[in-house]
Amino acid sequence: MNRRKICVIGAGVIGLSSAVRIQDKIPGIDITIIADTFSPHTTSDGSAGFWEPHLVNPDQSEEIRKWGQATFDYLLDLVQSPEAGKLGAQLVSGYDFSIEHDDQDPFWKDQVIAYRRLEQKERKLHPKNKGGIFYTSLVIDVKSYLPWLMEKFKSRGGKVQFGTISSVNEISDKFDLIINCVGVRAFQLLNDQDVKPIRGQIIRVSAPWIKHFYVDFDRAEGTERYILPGRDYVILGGTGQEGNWSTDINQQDKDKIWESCVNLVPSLKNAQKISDWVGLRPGRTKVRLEIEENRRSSGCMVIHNYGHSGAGVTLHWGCAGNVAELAHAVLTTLSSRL
Amino acid sequence: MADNQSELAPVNTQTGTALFGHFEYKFEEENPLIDHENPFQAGLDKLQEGDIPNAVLLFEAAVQKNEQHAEAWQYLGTTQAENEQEPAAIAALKKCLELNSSNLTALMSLAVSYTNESLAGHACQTLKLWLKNNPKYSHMVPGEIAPTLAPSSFVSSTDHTEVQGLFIEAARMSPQEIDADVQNGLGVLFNLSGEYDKAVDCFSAALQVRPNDALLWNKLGATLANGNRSDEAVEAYHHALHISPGKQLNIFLTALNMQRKSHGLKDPQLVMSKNIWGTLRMAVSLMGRPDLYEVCDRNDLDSLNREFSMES
Repeated sequence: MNRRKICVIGAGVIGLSSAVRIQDKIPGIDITIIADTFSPHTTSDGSAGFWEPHLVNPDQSEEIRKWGQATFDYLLDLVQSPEAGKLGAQLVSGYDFSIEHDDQDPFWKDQVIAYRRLEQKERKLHPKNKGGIFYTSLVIDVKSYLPWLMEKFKSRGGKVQFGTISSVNEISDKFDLIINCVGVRAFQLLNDQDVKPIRGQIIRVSAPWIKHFYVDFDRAEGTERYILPGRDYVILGGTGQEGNWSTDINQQDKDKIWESCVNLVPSLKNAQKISDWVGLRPGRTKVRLEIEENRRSSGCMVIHNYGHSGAGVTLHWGCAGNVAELAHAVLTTLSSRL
Repeated sequence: MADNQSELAPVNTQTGTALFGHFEYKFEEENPLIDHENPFQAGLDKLQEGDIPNAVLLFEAAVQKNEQHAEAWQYLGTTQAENEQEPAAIAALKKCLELNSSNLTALMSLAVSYTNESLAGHACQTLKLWLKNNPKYSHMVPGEIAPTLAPSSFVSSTDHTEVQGLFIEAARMSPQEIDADVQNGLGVLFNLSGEYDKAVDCFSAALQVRPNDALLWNKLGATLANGNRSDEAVEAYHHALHISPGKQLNIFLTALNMQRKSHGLKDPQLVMSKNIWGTLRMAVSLMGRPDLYEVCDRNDLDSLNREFSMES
């Protein structure tokens, strides 16, 4: 019935959450998600679902903090809800050996729970006796979470279309407002040269005895390894290859991930390998969340929400709230006030 | 960022934004008129003069003095709506309706504010409540209407069609005698469905009965603008200006000042500002101040503020 029509391009965690929060803000809105990739095949599905502002630009820390905090609070509510089991939403504590010194404390230090330096006796957990930090964060099972969001979206009258959009203009005469949540594919869709893939390869294993997370980036050696336990599996990673568009499993990467993770936590040697996965994180100098300026006269407005690098899940709910505010503001200015 | 109210748990309650919840009225923190002896009457006087900012402060003082003053809440709401402060208007009108659920002025004004906020479902529900509470039409809406929208309900076209059908029926009840309020409500409903030509007919019909209602002329102007009939829209806005040029000028100046103060979303506001400056130019012309054309043409808000002693 509403004469205004909104389209969300993309059905990953950013697209789905944007759509749902627009429905929260503007009940009854006519809204359609268009995508050619849905759960369980989106980039988000491969994510470990771990809250940590990974691979973001500290220059944007003020906004990142705000979006991250909103998401952290929301995820903590989910952990406390009866749905937590269904969504694999849980608190998780663990070690980050990359942050060895006080002066390396990240800007999100106060946003996680009980952030502290390692005690002497914990240092032996690392083969090189490295120092680091311990904190409690949150994790969600993204493969369970995305269908749940989708269900919520549809139950409120949200529509879904399968389709590949190669230019915003293809659909601009059908909608009043487009929300662009295409992730790394903004490079092709908008020719945004600032977007580059940050290729991530992981191994999913079954190792139910692993209760803590372990993160270890060696900036000097340029290596990274992480062990992130979720509800069903433990994620072993990873890679952070900038500009690599390959979505094929790379055997060398796989061997390296396995070796380095077993080296850090030897019991993983007996873990059962479940699957391999590669995803392209949408790297960008900064997250782009804004109304596009030069479309004002075209009759169809565009709000961008992409470029979350390694922090899509970590920032999604806050960003989606921001998008909903902008969408509401755009809609109310499209019509003259009565 | 969005409000911090329960972002979720239980997850589906947030959609069911209650008709009498969600919007909270925020008072001006330092209200210089808070100790006024008779703020309600003074507010009505200021409103008459077109001094919207002071009228708002006085009505705020009135309800802070006596929270149960339904009529003061009503005026606070309608004045905030004239001030283009939709969330504040909605909050105040709902407060009024909590005290007196059958206040027809508040219900109609609330429906318009919801429409301006793109809350179509809420607008339809409120218009239905207007019929229900109007002795002339209450028989058309038997049974109770929940004052809340059901959680997870989305506005189906049936809701809108139903309410629109009721209003058409109400209009037909007395074809010889136009009920301006019914036409007004119908005009709002046709705006919601994007049927602007029909909405124009409704507001025009209402204006036959109330030719001196500047707000109605504004609604007609906005509807014509929405339907891309800009020449006629300017004419309608012109009518509104003729009725009370000083008041309209104050309203527009206030709107511009508010926009300048608010931050964040720069752009959609600019679009709005462009229209406002055109209208301001018309207003100064009607007030016999062609010397101010140039000030309007260069969008010089500070000079206009000085000229009409508005604080910025």
